[in-house]
Amino acid sequence: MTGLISAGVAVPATRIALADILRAWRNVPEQVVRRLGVGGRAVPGPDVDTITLAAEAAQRALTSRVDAVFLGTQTNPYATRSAAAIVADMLGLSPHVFVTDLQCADKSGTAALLSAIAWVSSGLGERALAIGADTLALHAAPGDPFEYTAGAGAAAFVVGAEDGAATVVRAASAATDTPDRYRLDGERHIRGTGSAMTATGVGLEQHVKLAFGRLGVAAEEVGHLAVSQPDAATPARIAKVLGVPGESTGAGLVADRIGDAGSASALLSLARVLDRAGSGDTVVLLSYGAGASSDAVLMRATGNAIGSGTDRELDRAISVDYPTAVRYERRYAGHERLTGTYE
Amino acid sequence: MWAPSEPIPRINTASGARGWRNRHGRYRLVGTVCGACEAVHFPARRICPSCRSADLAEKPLSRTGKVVCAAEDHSPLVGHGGRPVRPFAIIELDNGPSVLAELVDVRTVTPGQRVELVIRKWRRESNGLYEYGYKFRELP
Repeated sequence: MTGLISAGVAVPATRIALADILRAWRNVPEQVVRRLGVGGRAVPGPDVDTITLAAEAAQRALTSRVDAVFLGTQTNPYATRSAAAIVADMLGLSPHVFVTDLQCADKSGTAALLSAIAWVSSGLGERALAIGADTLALHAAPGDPFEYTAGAGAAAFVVGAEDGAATVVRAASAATDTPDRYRLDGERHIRGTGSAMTATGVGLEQHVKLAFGRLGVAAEEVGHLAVSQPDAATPARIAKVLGVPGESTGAGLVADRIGDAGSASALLSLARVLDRAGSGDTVVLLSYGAGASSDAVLMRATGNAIGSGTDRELDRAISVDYPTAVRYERRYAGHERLTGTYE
Repeated sequence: MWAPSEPIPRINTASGARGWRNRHGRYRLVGTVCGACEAVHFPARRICPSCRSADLAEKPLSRTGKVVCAAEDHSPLVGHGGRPVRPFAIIELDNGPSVLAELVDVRTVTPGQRVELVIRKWRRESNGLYEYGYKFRELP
């Protein structure tokens, strides 16, 4: 049996209200912004990046020795250097550890979790750490509608060969070439490819349906749906597309307070679900990555709360205004310059 | 790859090699404990400053502690241009010496406040790498 043993999450405490971004730009009708269901999004501070978020979440998840670290992210500050190796050293793990970074757009996090599950199930090691972390806020163009929801966060799970808080039953995936959002090497900002590809949800709806369909679980049996959340309205929309009970998305809702956490989104949702799932509950983890691909994992909750403290992290909020967010996220590219100790 | 518009400091930062050697101290507060007089040091030492013994063992210090006293730094330090005021505090660790460190995600700081270690970005080193290290945030 392979199961999820423990979990930890990290979300920037600084948040900005969507109303503040709207006041600065006035480029989207107010009711369109309100329809997203997102009150505020996370603002990564000037000293926060994907690696620090991943290290914080992993530190809180780590309760025992692990033999492998899988880090899924699409916003690694280094193009070539392994963020997973840096995080392993930050955690003080033995150097006899397998590390790798995974990049598969917004589903990098579940790709890392599935890799960890495969690693443990195959007997390559006893315990593996899977992390999903992203700072999308740094990669949203000023004035782009994506700026309203692009947030940041990280979630980490320890996977082991025991039941834990949830036992993995089955997994299924789907992938096709359906470009809806992308960022080229050397570019800072993530772009959409036009409303025909993004607003219609052609990639999202098709891929979650394909992946969920192969899980072999009846839609009405799903107790909790932990799903990628580009905004807070998407979980209900996906539930409708799949035909699962609408109330199954309630426990996993995180985007209403932090916005789109990218690769961490589905894993944050899963952590919140496993903090409160009852014994025998059917839990489905469902992710979507732009470009496009989807992972689905069917799990059975054992009733042992995973103790991730997700609510505590979500509640730890310090409001900042738009000018502060602009400084924190370095939205204006300044001159390239060398400086001394002081700026 | 996109490079953030962060200034690369030219002087006064540790070399890449030095940053690499002291990383365990920066990430996990690894100090040294003296085998002869049992004094605990941070940062790590090669010779005990109290008894001059060279019999030192590495030891990770506690990740939690409490604020002894706090102050605010208003200087525009490299890498922190976005944050004009940074609270600093002397933090008495639960099992060892006190450290001077930056506090993050706090509104007000009061002596006696319980804090925990979080890893954050300190600055970019002169070789362009990011230097990460300890900061502290409030425990609930």
